[in-house]
Amino acid sequence: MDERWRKIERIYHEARELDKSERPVFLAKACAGDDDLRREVESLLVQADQDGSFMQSPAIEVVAGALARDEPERRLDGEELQLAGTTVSHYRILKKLGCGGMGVVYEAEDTKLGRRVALKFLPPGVVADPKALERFQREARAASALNHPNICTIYEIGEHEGQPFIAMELLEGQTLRELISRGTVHTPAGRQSPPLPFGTLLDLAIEISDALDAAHQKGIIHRDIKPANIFVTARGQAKILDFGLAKLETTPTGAAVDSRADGLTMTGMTMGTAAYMSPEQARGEPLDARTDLFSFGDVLYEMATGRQAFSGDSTADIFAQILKEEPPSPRALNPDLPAKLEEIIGKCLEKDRDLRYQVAAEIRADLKRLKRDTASRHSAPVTPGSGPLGAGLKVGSASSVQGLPLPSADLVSSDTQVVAAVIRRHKSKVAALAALIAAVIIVGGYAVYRLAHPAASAVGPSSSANMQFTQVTTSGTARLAAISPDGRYVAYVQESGGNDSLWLRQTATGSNVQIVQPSERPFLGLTFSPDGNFIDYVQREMMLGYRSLYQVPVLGGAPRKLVSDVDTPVTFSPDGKEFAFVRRDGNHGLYHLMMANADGSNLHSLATRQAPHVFTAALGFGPAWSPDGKVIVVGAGKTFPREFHPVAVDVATGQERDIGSRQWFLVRQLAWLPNDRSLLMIANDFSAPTQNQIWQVSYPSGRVSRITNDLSNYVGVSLTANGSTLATVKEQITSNIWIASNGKWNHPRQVTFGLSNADGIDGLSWTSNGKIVYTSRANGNTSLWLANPQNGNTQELVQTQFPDTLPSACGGSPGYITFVTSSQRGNETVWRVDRDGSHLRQLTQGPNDGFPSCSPDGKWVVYSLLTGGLPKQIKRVSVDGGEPIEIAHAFILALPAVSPNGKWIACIYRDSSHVPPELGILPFAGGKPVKIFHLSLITNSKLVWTSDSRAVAYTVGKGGVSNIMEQPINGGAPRPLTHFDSGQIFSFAWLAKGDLALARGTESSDVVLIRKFQ
Amino acid sequence: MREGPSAHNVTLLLKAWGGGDKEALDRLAPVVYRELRRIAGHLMAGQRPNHTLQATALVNEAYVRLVDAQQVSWQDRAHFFALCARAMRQILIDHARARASEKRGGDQISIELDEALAASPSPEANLLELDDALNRLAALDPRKSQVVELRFFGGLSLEETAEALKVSTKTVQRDWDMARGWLYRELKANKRDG
Repeated sequence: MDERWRKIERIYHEARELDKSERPVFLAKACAGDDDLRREVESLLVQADQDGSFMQSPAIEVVAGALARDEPERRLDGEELQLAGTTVSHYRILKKLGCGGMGVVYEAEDTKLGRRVALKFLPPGVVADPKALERFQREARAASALNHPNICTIYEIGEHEGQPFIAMELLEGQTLRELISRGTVHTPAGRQSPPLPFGTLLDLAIEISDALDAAHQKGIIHRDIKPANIFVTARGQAKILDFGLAKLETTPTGAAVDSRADGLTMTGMTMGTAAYMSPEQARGEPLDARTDLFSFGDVLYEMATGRQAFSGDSTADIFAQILKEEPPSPRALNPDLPAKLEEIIGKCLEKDRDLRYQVAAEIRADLKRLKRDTASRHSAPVTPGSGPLGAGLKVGSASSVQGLPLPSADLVSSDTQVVAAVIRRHKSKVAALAALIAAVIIVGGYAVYRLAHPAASAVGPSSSANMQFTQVTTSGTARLAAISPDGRYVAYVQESGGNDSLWLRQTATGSNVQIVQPSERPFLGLTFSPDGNFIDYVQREMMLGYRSLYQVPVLGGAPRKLVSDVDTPVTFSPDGKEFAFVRRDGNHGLYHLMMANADGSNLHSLATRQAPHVFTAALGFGPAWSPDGKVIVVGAGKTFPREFHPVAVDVATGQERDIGSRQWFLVRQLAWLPNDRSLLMIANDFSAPTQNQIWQVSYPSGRVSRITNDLSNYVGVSLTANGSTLATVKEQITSNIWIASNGKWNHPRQVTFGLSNADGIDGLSWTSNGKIVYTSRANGNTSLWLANPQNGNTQELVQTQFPDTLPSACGGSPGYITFVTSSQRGNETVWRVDRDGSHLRQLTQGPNDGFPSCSPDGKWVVYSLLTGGLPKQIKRVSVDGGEPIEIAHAFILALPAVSPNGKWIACIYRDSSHVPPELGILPFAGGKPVKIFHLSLITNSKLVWTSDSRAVAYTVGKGGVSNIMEQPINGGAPRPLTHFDSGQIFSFAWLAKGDLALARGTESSDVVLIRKFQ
Repeated sequence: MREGPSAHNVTLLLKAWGGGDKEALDRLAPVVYRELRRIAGHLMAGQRPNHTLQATALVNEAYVRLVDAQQVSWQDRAHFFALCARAMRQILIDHARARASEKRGGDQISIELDEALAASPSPEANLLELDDALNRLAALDPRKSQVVELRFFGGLSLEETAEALKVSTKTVQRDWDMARGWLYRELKANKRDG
């Protein structure tokens, strides 16, 4: 240990004894002009002035969760099967995925090809007969030759110590069986509703029939088509599993199910299989491909009605029905079904196979016709007031949009895609929208709506004209608020320099006092205890991946930790003895409504949902315990297809009941009015999915009325005990278009002057004739506008029914603009439109295409898309349409931008999970990056090339102020280009001659109190 | 059921190590590592993470299971705890490393994306960074790094740490305080550099 360190240590400890205010004088003296020494000591003292949480919990807590998750598996596999961690052939087994009648399935890594696979081991005994094994292998090999997008691909059939295994495509998603049961499980009793939306049903059915057709053409029969053997991937694609394996499946009847069974013995068939057998299968007759068509009819029947066509208490019962009975008419169970679908199902379920559909292609054709005939009806948004998908398209000039290829409204976007979509787009609004992004991560499905922030086209008046707003904070950086039961205090979280602190304001006097010190650990929720003595707040743990609940006396004091792993604010029982909150177990996809005693003891789960069914949880979300103590209401719903609603969970039984039948884009926080008869709710209506507004909901009928009706977002709701005053945080964005001439970057002039149009927050670009195309909410929805920088004139370029964002102008003649549109279900696609608003045309099919950027010759549009939920791939598509072509892919590849000279594509590049994201420069033709730059600061924006193609610029933000940095591509450190000391830059772009267009403005969020809202 | 030295053997090894037999440590360390790993797994399996679990409980349970308390001196016990702290560090770091290298999917996507695009480190990444920083601290001031190992990884109290290091509680307190200041700065610096 050197002398200097000793000296540092001595001065550190002496300084530590002193009050913070006395330190500067002391340090100046003690360090005697040695500035390095002084800086060193000061840097060590930083931690001491924090809130003391750093490293206060032992390290084991950090990874306890992960260890706990790994351990049971390791024990099970290690002791029972000795497989996890071992290598079988060239597969390294990673973990067990599940097991079923046909054996145990593991996730494994193919060490040769480096890809993940699913490895299925057949159960011992089933293949004891060498002849059977050989036949299985023969058949499985035939099946492995099937190369079809809707058939799970078999990579290899192998053997490990006498145990045959199959290596196949690793799928993420769920089986149709799970999908159907989840779709029906939350349906209120007495309401027969189909488990799947009709559009989804049709799409899946068409895919399945196509897969059957392909297999049958190769002479391969499945023999065991049933919902459990059909997988639906996270992207909503159907995949038939286990082709060729059905002959190994067995039946309890002992009778030959398949008379050509070559001596294969049959035992232990499940009831699940019997229900989907064809009559000829039940009779044990020889089978042909038509058996699959009957079984497919069973599957269709169940998808449409939620019920099995044939069911019974015993296999004999089921067989009797299959052979003799007609199932109830599907339309009797689900009157919404088209007659044509009933006809198709009936034709599949003909008992005499000669009267049935003869080939799968016939079914496919009938389904496709049905889809065409009903497309407009069923792709229509479900909310009143919005027309069919195509009808809302409106073009700036009078050109017709008839016959446009329409984006499919039924395309499903998974949580992961959505999260990626949101995150990649919202770096520019991280500070103020962090809450929303967090919400999206949790509930998913938010897609491009967040990107677009379309303003609500105001529908209906507010419920009270006398509503009184009182603004409580003016900092613009308040994040959360709660009002005390007696209304005397408002607790709120204030953000400053990246740190959150908790404050208390006395409403009568306006005096403020800080009760929890600033900390890097963000707050999530605030709740006053019913007696008004304590504030229970949720805060993220330093170094740890979860949040804990703390309690602090109202007038300050030492916070006490009550419970860990809390994902919403708590809500108290009326007697204050218990509280409830939502806990999200992201690793298992579970969402628990938890209850505990007020001191954190007796913690238990009252109700649990499994993804895609969720209880909503994040900042600005939260459950509410009813004044009579009987129920806890909480936002719930699913992301596939998207619908959310408040549910009441019975405190005694944990049973859930929907409140009303109306579905929402998102349900956030709830609060009871004191009468037990109605609630306040922060929610986003489908008609304005980016507006978190306050609504009143009657209980239990679910009748809805509006409280707020404006362009702001409201985060969180809390009420006084008498229900007279509510506290919330109101968020607003102001942004306008500015232009800076070459070199005078810090002195832009303003081009647009809206107060709440949010001009350019979702992108801007220069057109080839010197106008600026930008996003604006000027007419309510987010749409594309053109501004003439010479005279300041603006005009709407194009408006579709859905948010249009991320404009990128292209050269060529006459010059056009590409942009992204997203449908109600979050299908994001790239479009183009001519500079004069004509020739609107869809270029890509989605579901998550974004960030279009034109090649300078105007021939290609480069864009990014998501794979497995992550931006991993960049493609280009001809401006005249056609098949997109891959340019490059990597672990992460995002935000592509083509250089003005057409040679390069700048992007965010990440080679593997081990390295941080970097700025990569790819050749336009594709391949690996030729240059990589370390991003010293995290970019908040798209990447933008300077007009000379020599540098890539991006914005960096701190404390609500953002500036542009540029990274020269011939090397050197990134350098700041602008030096604004206020305001955010939401987007920017250079004109060829060097002028810079900026979308600049402010975001603010302040605590408001609302009275007389009823 | 398990292979390896009995409590009797562990006790002997511990005493031999205390008496200066370096080889004894080589034989002891893997036993402690395995046992802690096992106890950690059992303790945590089936429990909600992050709750009742305490590092001290782990170390104490390992002690009870492995060592015949009647036979060892307090110095041996202190040695044992120090060994446990080292083993815990290794277990947790090994684990964090394994986790960090795992490709995540599905529900963990948010973490992945944070890492991918915002470079906000996961708990595992934090722990690995901390481990690195702790190695640097060991070069600068070995005792402070030991204090951190015993307190943060071993979960030992100030008093137990003092006992293990044969210094006063006051010294441990001061070392702990300054080491946290130092580590905090190092981790923050890492964050800033990207």
